[in-house]
Amino acid sequence: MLDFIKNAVNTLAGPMATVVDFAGDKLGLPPLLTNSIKAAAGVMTGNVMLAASGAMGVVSELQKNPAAETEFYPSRDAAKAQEGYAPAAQKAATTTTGYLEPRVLEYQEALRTIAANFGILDTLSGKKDSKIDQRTLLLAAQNPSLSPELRNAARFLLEHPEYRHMVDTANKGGSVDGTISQQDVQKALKKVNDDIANYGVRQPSTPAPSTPPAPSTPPATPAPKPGGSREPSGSVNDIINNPHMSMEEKLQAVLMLISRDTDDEILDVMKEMSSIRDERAKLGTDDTGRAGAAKLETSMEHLNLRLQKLMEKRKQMFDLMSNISSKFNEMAKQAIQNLGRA
Amino acid sequence: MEIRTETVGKLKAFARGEVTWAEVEGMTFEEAKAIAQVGCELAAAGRFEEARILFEGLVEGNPKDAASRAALGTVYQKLGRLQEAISEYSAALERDPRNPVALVNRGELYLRQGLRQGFTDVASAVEADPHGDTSAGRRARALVKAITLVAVEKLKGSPQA
Repeated sequence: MLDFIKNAVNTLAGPMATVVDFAGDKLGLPPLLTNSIKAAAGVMTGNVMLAASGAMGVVSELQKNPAAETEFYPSRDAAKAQEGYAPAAQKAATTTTGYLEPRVLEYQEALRTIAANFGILDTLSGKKDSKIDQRTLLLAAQNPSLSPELRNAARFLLEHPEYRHMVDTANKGGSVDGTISQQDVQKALKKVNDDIANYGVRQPSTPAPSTPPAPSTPPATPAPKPGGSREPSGSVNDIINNPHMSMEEKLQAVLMLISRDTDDEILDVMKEMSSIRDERAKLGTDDTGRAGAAKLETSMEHLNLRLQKLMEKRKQMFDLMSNISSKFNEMAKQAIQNLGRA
Repeated sequence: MEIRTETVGKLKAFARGEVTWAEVEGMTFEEAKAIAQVGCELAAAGRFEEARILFEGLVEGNPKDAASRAALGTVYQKLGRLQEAISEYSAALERDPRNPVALVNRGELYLRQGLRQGFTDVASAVEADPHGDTSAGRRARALVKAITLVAVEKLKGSPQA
């Protein structure tokens, strides 16, 4: 490992003492020690040096920090590091112009809070049935022992029935039944996240665009989906028909959409697993209980298998996205190089 | 129409060499950093060809970015494209003479070629990263220690030290 250094040291024209000077300085050795190495170069001093660092120690240190390790180390001078890039503020300004009502952000926040605290809301009305309704929201909005965020989230849904109805029908569609399940909240949250990502949110002072993507109420509804089925295919159509997106962005957005669906499926499977575990805990030790446990065990195995497949699918999706991104980079590079040659 | 005029203006500025492609595209430093991070992870996983594509893209986008050029140099070095690696390190050092990654790796390549400039580069890398914040800085220190060892061995064998 040190051979190339030995060869390099041999190329130095000056006396060996210059090498020791150089090395001593760089190591921060006191001049006395450096001088003693030069003067004596004998067994004693050599031993001190070798004991201090040791050939083996150096080799291990070099192995720990291999050559050409890829690191991104921008200059400490921020202005220099950011030279040649677009200023961050300019980018932010272009991304804050969108179509959706600013209130959609409050709706998103409310959903996030409710999703994170669904368990608490579920028990507020006295029974735990994995569902909440208007009464639960009322109780939550007036309960001082709950966090202000959760109270505000409940209040938001109470004050905005249009959003409440959207959540109500988010999972299975159909008509409003007055109850909101955890799946409803999760689906609604996913949908609003997608809409914000796809259409952006209008600045409070900005007038509504002439061609809004969602002419129908409620406000967070995306562009109309001609002849499409419910959410997923409609969103894909929206992406494909979006004139403001490049081919690369469309591909990435569609893949992201699919991967989000996979994420949701994974969450659903995990929830199912969790409920099976709860059920199993409630079973007795008699024959009926054992039979029930065996059935649940089989279901659990199926779910495990499904989870494994979903994880595999998710991995493949990310690999595909990474490959596509690389290909586009290569194509862009090639195009730029061709421009340079032209 | 307004957007198109703006884009045309940017493209003209790019053609005149006044702005980089990254500026035309509106790519921020933070975005570039995130991409570079992916490139570093790909390289760490041994996927050098993919890392090369990412870093080449970054360098094409902004040739002024010394950190990306140094990182691209390391990928070239791993791929055995040593001359291109040295070119990238040198280009990085033109923009940022204290980039420890470019300094130590170019220094090491020079030392392997038997060039004395390598000592200066390695020494400068230690100075640029005295606390060993980067892997390159730590390697620079280890190399200096190794040079010391070799020098001491030579001195022991030398009659007129």
